[in-house]
Amino acid sequence: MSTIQSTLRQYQNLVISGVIILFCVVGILFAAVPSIAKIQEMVQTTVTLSGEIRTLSEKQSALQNLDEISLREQLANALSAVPAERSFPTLFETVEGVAAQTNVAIKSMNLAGGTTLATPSASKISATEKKIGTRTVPFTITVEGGMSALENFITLTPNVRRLLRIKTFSITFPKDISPITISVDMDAFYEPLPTSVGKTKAILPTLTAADEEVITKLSQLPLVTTQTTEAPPPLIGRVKSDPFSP
Amino acid sequence: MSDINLLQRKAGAFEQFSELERKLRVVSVWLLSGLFLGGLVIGVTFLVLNGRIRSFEMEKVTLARDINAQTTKEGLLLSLKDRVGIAAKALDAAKPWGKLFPILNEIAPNGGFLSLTIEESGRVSADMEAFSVDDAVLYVANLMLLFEDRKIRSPQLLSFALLETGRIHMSVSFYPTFAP
Repeated sequence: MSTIQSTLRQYQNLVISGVIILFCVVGILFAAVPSIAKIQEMVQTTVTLSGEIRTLSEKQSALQNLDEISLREQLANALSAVPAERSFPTLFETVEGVAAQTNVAIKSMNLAGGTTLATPSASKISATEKKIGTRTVPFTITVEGGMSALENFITLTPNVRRLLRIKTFSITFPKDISPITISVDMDAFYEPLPTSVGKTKAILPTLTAADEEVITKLSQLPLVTTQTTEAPPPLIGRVKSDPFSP
Repeated sequence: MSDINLLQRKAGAFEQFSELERKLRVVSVWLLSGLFLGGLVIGVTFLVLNGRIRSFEMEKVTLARDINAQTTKEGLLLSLKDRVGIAAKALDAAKPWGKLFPILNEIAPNGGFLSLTIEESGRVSADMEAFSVDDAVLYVANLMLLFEDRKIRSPQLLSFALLETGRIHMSVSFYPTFAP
């Protein structure tokens, strides 16, 4: 016992130094290193949060600068050009309006192809629609009128607010000035509105110069329907009271 | 003569031990000081970063709440952006066929067209009647002129027949470019 005591006494300073070094090594390994790793993680979190806050600030600022009334008006115009549904009433009214303005008589109008009665989003997209990039209501119209009236009809048809596309038509030119009848295959465009907004962090899209140009062009196109354009139903951000309603 | 050295050649074990002890003490003091200072720096950094993260998270929550309060505006903008993109595609797909009639007038100013068919691909096929070979040549020359002006592309003479009446029946096809 006395041997141990004398040995400890002899090596006391060495033992103390050794214990301190051991304590420091253990401290470095089990406290400092994990703490540094944690700090690195926290720095990374700070950078990420800072970026997110910048994005959110920009988004909030952009949203605050938007004029809701103007947006509603522009969307109403755009929806009157390409509605969210097939909207047969506006389709018939537009065709009738164009015919009336160009002095041609509508002899018949047939909806071509199988038109599903399901909700627009449930209908399958054809290869042509995929190519164009939007859904269509194909129809055929037979009109009668003088040559210049028919020319006006062909000219005005793609230039009205409910956007229409002439696919095919044939004209047999008359020898005299008698009215002629032509059959025109056409498409009316429609596309359901998006039903959800992205995450809060999602970057807000901006309207480019090209978009503004399209908006201006659409607002300048004549609206030949008698139906008034109302502000669009805000599908986004609203919960339906009846989830089974269309 | 032999050398006599009374000093010890090597330091004694006690001195070596003392030297080791001194070095270890220095190392331990440095390590302990370093650990203390490092701990202090780490602690302060931790507190600062923790404060910043809390502050950022609070700011984020506030901003998210503000943004969520403007969901209607965001929805309107997204819908408008989507609709404008679709309308642009629809406008591109709708060819301005009204511009075809001035082209027809340029091909046959005296109205030599009998019939006209427009296909979905944009191809225009026309049956024409010319009163003379000169007229027929003029129609073809006009077609080529329009091609050179890039108003039409791929003009083709599909058929050319001299009728008993002396008139010429010809079929042509082309794609109008509707270039501005």
